[in-house]
Parts: sequence; C-alpha cells; structure tokens
Amino acid sequence: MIFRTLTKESLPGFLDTVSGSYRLVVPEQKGRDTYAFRPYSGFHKVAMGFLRTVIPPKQFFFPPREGLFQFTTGAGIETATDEPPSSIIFGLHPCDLHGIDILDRVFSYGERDTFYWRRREKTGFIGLSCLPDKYCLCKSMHTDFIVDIYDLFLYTLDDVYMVSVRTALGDDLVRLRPDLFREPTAGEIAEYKDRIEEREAKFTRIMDITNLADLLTLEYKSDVWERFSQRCLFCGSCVMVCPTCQCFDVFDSTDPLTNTTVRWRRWDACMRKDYALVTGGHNFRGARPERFRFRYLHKEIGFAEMHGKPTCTGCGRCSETCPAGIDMVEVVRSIRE
Amino acid sequence: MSLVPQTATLVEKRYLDPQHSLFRFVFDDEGVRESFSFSPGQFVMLSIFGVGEAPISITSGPDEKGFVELCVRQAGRVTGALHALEENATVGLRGPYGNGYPVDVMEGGNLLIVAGGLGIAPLRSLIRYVLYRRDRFREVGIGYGARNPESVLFSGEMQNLVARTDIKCILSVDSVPEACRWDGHVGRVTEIIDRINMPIEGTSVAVCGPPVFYKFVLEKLLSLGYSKGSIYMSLERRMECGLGKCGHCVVGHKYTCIEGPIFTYWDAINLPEIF
Amino acid sequence: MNTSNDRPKLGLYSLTSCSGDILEITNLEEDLLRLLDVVEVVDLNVAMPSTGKSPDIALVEGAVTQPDEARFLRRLRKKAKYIVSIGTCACTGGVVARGTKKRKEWLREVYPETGEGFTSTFPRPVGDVVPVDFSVPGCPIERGYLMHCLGYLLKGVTPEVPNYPLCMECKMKGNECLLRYRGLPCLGPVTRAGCGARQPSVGRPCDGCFGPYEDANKEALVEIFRRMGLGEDEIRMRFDLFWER
Repeated sequence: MIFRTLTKESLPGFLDTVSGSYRLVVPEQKGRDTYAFRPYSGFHKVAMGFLRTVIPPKQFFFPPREGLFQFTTGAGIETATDEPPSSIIFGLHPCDLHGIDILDRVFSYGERDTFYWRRREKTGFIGLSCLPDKYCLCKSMHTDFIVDIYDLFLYTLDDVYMVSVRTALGDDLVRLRPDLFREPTAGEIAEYKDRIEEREAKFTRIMDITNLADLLTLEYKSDVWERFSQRCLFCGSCVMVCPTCQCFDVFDSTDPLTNTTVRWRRWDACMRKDYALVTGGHNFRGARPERFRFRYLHKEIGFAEMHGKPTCTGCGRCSETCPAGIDMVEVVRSIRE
Repeated sequence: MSLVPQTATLVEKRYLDPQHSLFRFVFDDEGVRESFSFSPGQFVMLSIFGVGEAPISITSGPDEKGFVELCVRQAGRVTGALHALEENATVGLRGPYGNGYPVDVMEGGNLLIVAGGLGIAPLRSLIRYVLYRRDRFREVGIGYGARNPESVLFSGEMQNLVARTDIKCILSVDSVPEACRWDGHVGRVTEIIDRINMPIEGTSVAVCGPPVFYKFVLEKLLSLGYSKGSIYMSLERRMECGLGKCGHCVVGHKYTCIEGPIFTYWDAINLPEIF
Repeated sequence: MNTSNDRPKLGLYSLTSCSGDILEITNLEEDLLRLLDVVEVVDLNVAMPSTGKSPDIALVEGAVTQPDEARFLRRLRKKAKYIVSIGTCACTGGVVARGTKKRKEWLREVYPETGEGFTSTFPRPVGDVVPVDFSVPGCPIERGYLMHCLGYLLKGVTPEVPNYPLCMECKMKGNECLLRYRGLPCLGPVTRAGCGARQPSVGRPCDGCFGPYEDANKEALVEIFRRMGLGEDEIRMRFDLFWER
C-alpha cells in the first residue's frame, strides 16, 4: 500500500480519464433526499457529499432480477456469452466495501456463483471517506474503516484527498494520470490524523453488540419478537436495501410468442410469508415473530458461525428506509434490557 | 456454470401408485452421463422448463451408472408437471448436492434403516449401496412402514429384501383393507424396530419419513438407548439453489443443502426451528 | 399469419367495466399480431361476433352487474378450460364495487324516476359467480405480467407470480420510499407486487390496485397513516378504492 495526494480540483479530470478506460459508476442524487449509483455522466452530477444510496452496490454483481439461461425446444439451454465491461465504482464508503467483502464470501462458499463473479471480477473500487449521520452504526459493527477490498481509497482533507493505493489496479488507475498525484506532505499527514479524531467524535449513536450472539440465543423466546412484529409491515424493504442480504428466488418465465423460457433469479426476503414453505404445505417459519427474529439471528449469528463475523455492516440503510421506523439499535437495545 | 442444469431425457416412467412414480433420466451429454456420480442421500435440482425447479432425493443406487432415478410424489407445481410428462421428454438436472449419508462412518458396523412412506426414496439409494457391498457391513436391518399394502412403494423390491437371509427386513402397514393380502406386520412402525432387534452398540440408524413418523421413531430409538449421534435423519427444506446461496433452506445457522440434508439427531436438535 | 386450427383458442370477454384491460391487450401492438400467430381468438365480445368455438383460455374483464352476465359466465364455465379474471374489477370488484351506501339508496338518489326498474345488481367479481382458475389483477393489468401468465397457461400450468409486497419491487428499482421521505399514504407495504411499482416510480403513492398481499400487516400501516396525521375517513378511503370490497 502506498499513499499519494490528489488535489480536489484534479478529481474531475481524474474521473473523466477513468471513465474513458472503464465503465465508471458514481453516486448521484436520485430522489429529493436519496442517492443512487449510476453511470458517470460528468463530474457535475457526482454527489460527493452523499452518505448512502437506496440500493447498495450489490446490484452490480447481483442484480435485482437476472436471467440465468434460456431454454427453447430444439436449441436446448443457452447462456449469456457477453463479457461484462471492466468497471470502476467510485464513492464506496467503508461499510459498503465491507458489504462487498461479505458477499464475496457468500458467493464463494461451496460452489462459486459464476453469475456473481463474472461481474465482480471485472469491477474495481474507489473508496471515499465519510462522516456519520444518526443512522450510521459502522463504529459499533467495527466496519468504520477498511484495509482491503478497495483499489483506491480517497480520504477527504481540506484541499486534497489522501489517496491509499491498495492494489495493482489502483496503481493502474493512478498511472492513467500520474501528473495529478504526488507524495503527501508532512502537513497533509498531520491533517489526516486530525480528521480521524474529528470523525470519531461525530459518532453519536452506538449499538452495543457485546455478547450479542449469546443474548439473541438466550432471548430466542423473548416477547421482543412478538412486539416488533406487530409494528413490522413485512414489506421486505430492509432486506432489499441491505448490502449483505443475498437471498433469491428462482422462477421461469415463458414468452408465449416465441415459446422461449428464461430462468430468472430475483431478490427475495426471509421476512416473506412463504419463504420457508415447502411443497405439501408445511411452513418452517410461518409466524411473523419467527420471521422477524430469523432476520436478526441470521445477520448477527448465522453468518458469523460460518464466516466468523456478523453480516451487518452498520450502513444504516434498514433503519433509514423502514416505513414503520423500526431501528436496529432499538431492537438490539430491547434484547439487552 | 452454477445454477444452469444439464438437459436429460426421461427414458422410463414407472407407475408406483396413484401419487408416486419412479422416473429414470439419462443425461443428454455423454461426458456428463459418464462422470455423474453421487452418494446415497444426496439430491438433485430437477427442472421442468417453463415450470420451475425443485430439489428431489436420488432414489437409484450410486453404483448404477448411466442414469438417475427419482421417486417423486405428485404434490406441487414442478412435481405435478413431471407426472404429466411422457417418455422422451426433456428435463434439466443439476447436482448432486448435499452431504449424503456418511457411508464411511457406517461401514464396518451394523446398519438399521427405518423408512416411512416416501421416506424410502433416499433410503432406497442407501439400501442399494449396501446390497452392492454387503460384506462391508455387519448386521443390516430394514424397517419400512406404509399406510396400507397398496401404498408400499417398490413392493416387489421390498419383498425380495424380506426374503433375504443376510438382511432382516420387515414391512409394516397401519391397516389392511378387506380382500387385500398382506404377509407383513400390521401396526406401528415402532413395533417392527423391536422385531428387527438390532444391537444398540456399533449401529448407525438412518431414518427418513414424514414429521409424525420421525416423532415416534426417534422416541423409540432413544428409549432403546441409541445415541443421538448415531441416528441420521434427512431434512426437507425449501431450496432455490442447492448451493448455499439462496438462503431458503437455512435452519438455524446451517444450509440444509450443503451441511445437510443428512443431519445426526444431535446436530438437528441443536438447530433452532428444526421441526 | 398462422391461421391453423390447432392453435389454442383464446376468448376475450368484457363485462361491466371501462374495457381498460382488453385495451391493454389490443395495445400490445406488434406483439398482438404475433400473439395471433400463437392463439386463435374465438371471442372478443367488445368488437366481433362470437365464432361459436369454445375457448381454451377465457380472459374475463369487468365486474358482474347484470343477471345476463352471470348466466353468460355459467355457460362459459362449462365450455372453457381456464377462466382467468383480468383486471381488478373482475378479480375483486374494483372501483365499480366501492362505496359504503346501500345500493337502493343510490338508485333512489341518482335515478329517482327509473331506478326501480333496473335489473342490475351490486357489482361482484367473477369469482363470486363461477370458479376462477387464475386472477391477473391490476387497474389496468400490466401487459408483461399478463404475457408471463399466458406463457404458463398455454403450457397448462398455473402461473407462478410474485408473491410479495409492492415495496420489494419498488426497492429493487431503487425508488425513494414515499411513506418515509415524502409522507405520502402509499399502500405499497400491503399490496401485491407485479406492476413494477408503476405509481411510486413516478412519485405517486400506490393505490393498491393489485389487491392485498396475503401477509399484509394492514393494522401496522393504518397506525403509520395515523401518525402521519391522516383522519379515520381518509384512511378508510385509501383502502376503499381497490383494497376492500
């Protein structure tokens, strides 16, 4: 890992150059108060101050709906042969990079998921530092900084970005415009240290996850689950916007005009009523409290048992999006009480 | 590619009873046909194109090469469409998936197999494995319970097992309608476990059947003194991928499709929401 | 154009409605011509006389408001292999079935002179008159959704359709939540998906035309509406439009 600095005035020129060689994706304002990752269409559209997009970057490797193959009588099974373009996603905060790290593990576990990896392998990441708002729980989840996954990471200082060059791809990007990058000065290094402390001080909400896996197990039969499931709409929004939720459904759709069947996979949610329903009618998690509980248990324990860490990245999307205002911090606090 | 099946042809459809048939498939690709191998207790994802995909236990034995047999109940969208297929129809198969029975642990000891109803589907594969290498097992007992003589699946094969002297196989039905001939046991399947009378020490037990069957059989086995670690059960869960990705089959903290579907009773009771 | 007689036979029937769903089918444009290669249209009662042939698949739009319509459906049930209700009126009664006043009072109020002689009845969904094999909701129906269902029905298989709330579909599109960010009384959390979040995608709250999602937590949404400041009447009106009969 090496460090360089890039002046703020140079960033537009740098991104223009990157977009000439890669499909560049950047955060843009979408709704009145929301953001989305979109193809780069000029620096004036880039939302540098954004905190979180509605949909996390998982959409680029694991789209909401994806055709896996098509089947036609006679021709048999045909799979897509197109090569995904080499892409760079700009503006990823540490939480989202941690989210990608978790998805990488899920989609490598057992048999590698070729559909995920065909795009993922051709995507590089430029991280961007951030300052937390009231929904950010990365500090609590220990995902507030990251040392891998990214290729370049830009830490915002007053006049420059302190740029961590992590990988050879990151170095390739820097070498597209070597004129824009230089060695950090002693003053910039001092400023970088100050910024770390300033950021620390801005975390106003902490979710205490000490022994949380044990507490969730001990409170398996708690009435907390029943209480929250009365408020929960079971709308699945929290799952859709979660950077690490990767459940999917598989279904066929046949075009009646051509009689070609496409096998699709589509995002699914464990909160959904027939998620665990089997043929014959038995539902292993039919009751709402069971489904509400399952999501928390899987986030905090299930994945950790296999991969050694919880899957919540503290990005705050679920709490910010929930139409019922259910907040992860509140649920965890109720379990601790 | 993950999630993309191989095409296979339905070469034979054997009627078993009004709800169940045995389907024999041959992979269209010669290489796949030859390289496809599996362990008893593993499953495949069966595609009926335009309808969908479902996980189905393999019913044929691992030593029978060149084809795969699935015993399927007509119950849902995919299995309903399967039953409507005629011979020579094209389907999709991918797999095998799951852990299968731990045959390396079972070999060298006694083996008790207890099946209820369609639970015979994966256990028939294990039985065929055992018959192919009978000398590697010490005592082998098989108990199979069905509702009535008409609903005994593979009745010819099962009668052949009853006739063998190197295996103690007893069939049991809940009741026998009038004008129906039946030489086997009538009553609870737990009673034939007593009659098979296997040793407790050094015996692995493979159990598969509907939920209420599990309840009584497991109670019986525990009361006889079998260790929870020596009882293997096959769990049914909804599955969309079979690859530990889609999330549907997660029980507690385990993917049934990878860590299962065969679990020891001990592992199973340590998973929340198991039944 | 394929004119062979072994194509599956499709019948399109319009009962009491705005004909908006049949219009969606005729608006398939070039796909419509291709559809006619695949199926034979044996009936289209809004535009042509019946061919007299029995349909394999009968698509029925509109609510039942006339004794004639009920008799027609009972005859159709004997002939058709599948009866598919299309559009919200046929599926649940729809807009024509909304309201709280008694029908007799309405007739006196609106048609004081002639109302007594009307033969019409209170609007009923098709499924209240004859068994329906499948429902394709929407006001109007979504063309892609209908084609997806036809793909299954032509194979003789019950269609697999999204069984989740609209919110999931809306979020998959990355939309800003109208409930959360704009304070609009959106019915997305309790409504069946399938339309592609037509309204929320253009900033308008969902009115629920696909009908209730089977696991809808309506009480929780009503509570949210109350907190947003909606009165009880306003809340009832939100659900009245499509959601409840």
